[in-house]
Amino acid sequence: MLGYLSRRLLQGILVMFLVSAATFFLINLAPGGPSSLMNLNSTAQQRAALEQQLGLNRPIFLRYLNWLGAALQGRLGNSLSQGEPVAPLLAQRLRHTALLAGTALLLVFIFGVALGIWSARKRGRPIDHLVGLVSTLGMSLPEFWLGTLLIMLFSVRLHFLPASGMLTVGAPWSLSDLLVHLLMPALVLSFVLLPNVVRFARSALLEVMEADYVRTARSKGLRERAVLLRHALRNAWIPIIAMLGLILPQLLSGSVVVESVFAWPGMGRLAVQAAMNRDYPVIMATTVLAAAIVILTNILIDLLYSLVDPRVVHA
Amino acid sequence: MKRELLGPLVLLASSLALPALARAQATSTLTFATNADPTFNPWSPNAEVESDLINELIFEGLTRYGSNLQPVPALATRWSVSKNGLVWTFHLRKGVTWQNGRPFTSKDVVFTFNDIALNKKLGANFASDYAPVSQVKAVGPYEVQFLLKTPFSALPSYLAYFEGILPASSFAGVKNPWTLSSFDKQHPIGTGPYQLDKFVPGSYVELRRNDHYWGGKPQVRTILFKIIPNANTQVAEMLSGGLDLISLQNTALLGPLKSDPNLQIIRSQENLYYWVALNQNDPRFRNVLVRRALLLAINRPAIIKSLLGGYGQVATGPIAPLQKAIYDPKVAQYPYDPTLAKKLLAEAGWLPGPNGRLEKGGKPFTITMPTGQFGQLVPMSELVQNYWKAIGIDVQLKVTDWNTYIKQVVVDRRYQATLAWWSTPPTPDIGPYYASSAAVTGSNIPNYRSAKLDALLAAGQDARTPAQEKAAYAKVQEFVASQLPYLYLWYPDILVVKSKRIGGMSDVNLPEAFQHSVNWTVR
Repeated sequence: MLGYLSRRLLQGILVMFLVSAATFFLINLAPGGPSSLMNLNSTAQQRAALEQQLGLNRPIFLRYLNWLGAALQGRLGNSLSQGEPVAPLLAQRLRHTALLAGTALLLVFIFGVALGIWSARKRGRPIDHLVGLVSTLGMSLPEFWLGTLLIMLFSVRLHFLPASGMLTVGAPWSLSDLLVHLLMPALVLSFVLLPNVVRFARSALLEVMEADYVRTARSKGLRERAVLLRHALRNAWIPIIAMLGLILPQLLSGSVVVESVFAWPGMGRLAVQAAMNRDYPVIMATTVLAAAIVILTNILIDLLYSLVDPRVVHA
Repeated sequence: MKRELLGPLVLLASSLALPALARAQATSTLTFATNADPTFNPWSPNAEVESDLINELIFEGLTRYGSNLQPVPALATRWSVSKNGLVWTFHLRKGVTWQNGRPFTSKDVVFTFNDIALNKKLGANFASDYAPVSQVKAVGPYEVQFLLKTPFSALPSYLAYFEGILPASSFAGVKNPWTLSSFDKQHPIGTGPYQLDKFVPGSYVELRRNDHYWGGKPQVRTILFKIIPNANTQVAEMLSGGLDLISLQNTALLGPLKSDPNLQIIRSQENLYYWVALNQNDPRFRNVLVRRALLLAINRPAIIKSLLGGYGQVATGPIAPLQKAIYDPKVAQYPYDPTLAKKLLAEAGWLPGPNGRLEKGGKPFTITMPTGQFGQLVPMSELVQNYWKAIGIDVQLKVTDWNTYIKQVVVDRRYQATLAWWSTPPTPDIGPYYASSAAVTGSNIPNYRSAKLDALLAAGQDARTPAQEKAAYAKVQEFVASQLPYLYLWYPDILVVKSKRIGGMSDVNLPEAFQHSVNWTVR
């Protein structure tokens, strides 16, 4: 087990190194540059002065080695557009994204599995078709459209929920205030991810419901509820958990859009702003961090398999 | 979900939501929007449009704009120019204190210009505006002199354009002011009517009034700026009462705002005009007949109607109508006339080939036109492409992201034609965008060089009286309208959506209104 974990972590480090190198060279070699230089009104003299200050006139390999050396020591540099250290900037935004994405993931997990089971149990009936239809809608609707629609309905028409932000500006912190701000963005993010989990849960359950051990359980006279929860669902967990691992990158990319629509001060918005401003240190930090989150979550999910299914052994 | 659960859930959610919304409407607070995290230093290259209006409340210039957009006293009470036009003397306001209690003196002005704006190693915002200034000298604690290389009649007007004075003491011993985040992100110190109370990155900026402001205590206690990057969300916040003012770029979003009885739409103007630049490094465009023909071929009123929703007017030159004292509409006009356009091109040797496309010496007339993804530049460029195609010119549009566009067009000048805009201070000085010295490396994007225009611009800068200035710039306007260094497209209206709660705010334009925030009230 320990050997397996070490191997996976080493592989993860290698992947992160490759991600960092690819990202660094791609963004630095792309035409253009930081927005402070690429300004419609800047003159050649202003651009030359800023290039010198930011060290962008040094060879690209040297700049990458400098970045890598500093990053290995935990120094992520200063944001080119904010002039502030990247690490605290990122830490603050990451907390906000974790809250939004975590809430959305929880909603996806609870409602996705429940709807999947319900749909599987009512296979071929109107309710199954309805869940299928809602799933298709969720997969087809873009987040920015759904987000704007909800804002127009709940904020503009009904004056029921705040349109944007994480807390009421100027008001003292309160949990209720946070929750009302969280509700719409979390719902939008979970709605577009939900179909994957619903469909996976449904097909996984349908598959195990046909298995011999389920038939045996039923023939023993067990109630359907017990058959479902004790025998079928336990075996359906593996594909569902695998699915949760797969939707993580979607969750991160979805939060980029949702954070922009709802002005949620998270890492996704920071990444978009950094990409638009060509803020190299922030782009590097957000990309490597996103890669680390995906890699670590996948390792964690692999480990979870063995907990859920004792037949899975990591050697 | 069972239906009976809905009622309690609705009640729970509304009990959570309503207090929050009510709090947003607190009196003596105005809430505005900005689209990204600001930088509280107007000279920092990182301070762009998201920071401008906030910095107008914290910092002040030596001058500011009056209701007719002429410079009026701010930190300077009066000014005069020497007989040879090479020394401007500014008398500073006494009794002004910085927001940390220290007195404002000539040292701060000298520092702001000599160490920041004129320091070539820094590449400060607006540095190119001050090319004629060699240095700033303190004559006493309350008097400074701007020593010039060439006459600069527009100086008082530039000084009012987002160019706030910084406190010298806050930057003592600082090598690179752009990395002083303790100032420009945490504790900016200005002399303005508002000071920073709190900045939560990604969320909001909270300003509170400066009780010791030299111009009297501002009536609005708190001004909040919510950081909202998405224009649709800003509109939704405006409609739901979460914002008191937004500036609208896209007229398509105007519909629901117009019908809200709590809001008013202001059509304001800035010195902003859209243009097409034809690269003068390309010999085809050095022929003025070709430039005139290409402008005649564009139906500008139709574009204004369709893309701008009618909010704009055809441009005649670089001096917009809001400069009432200078603007001269009686210059050469180019109404939509594709027949005349083809005739002029024929005179220039461009005749229709067998396939109807224009050609000269067997070479077809093709134009490569890069455009960047910013605002409505892409659809605008597409319409120009279609109009030029209609007279037999093949236009290849290359769409890139904004950053790449700037590199290609502004930095490398690798283009044949391109469409963009200039937003400039309300001064007739157009030198930074037209002078031969600004070609290739400056903001003279078409690389247009004309000794005659240079002389006319110099005469404008040497004007000593309003009458001299008007006469000098009448000649400039006549010349550029005739020679078309740029093809002038339109002056768009700047649409400001304002809550009726706001009182005392001027409708001239936002930069001017924000310089007089001390007069604002909350109704």
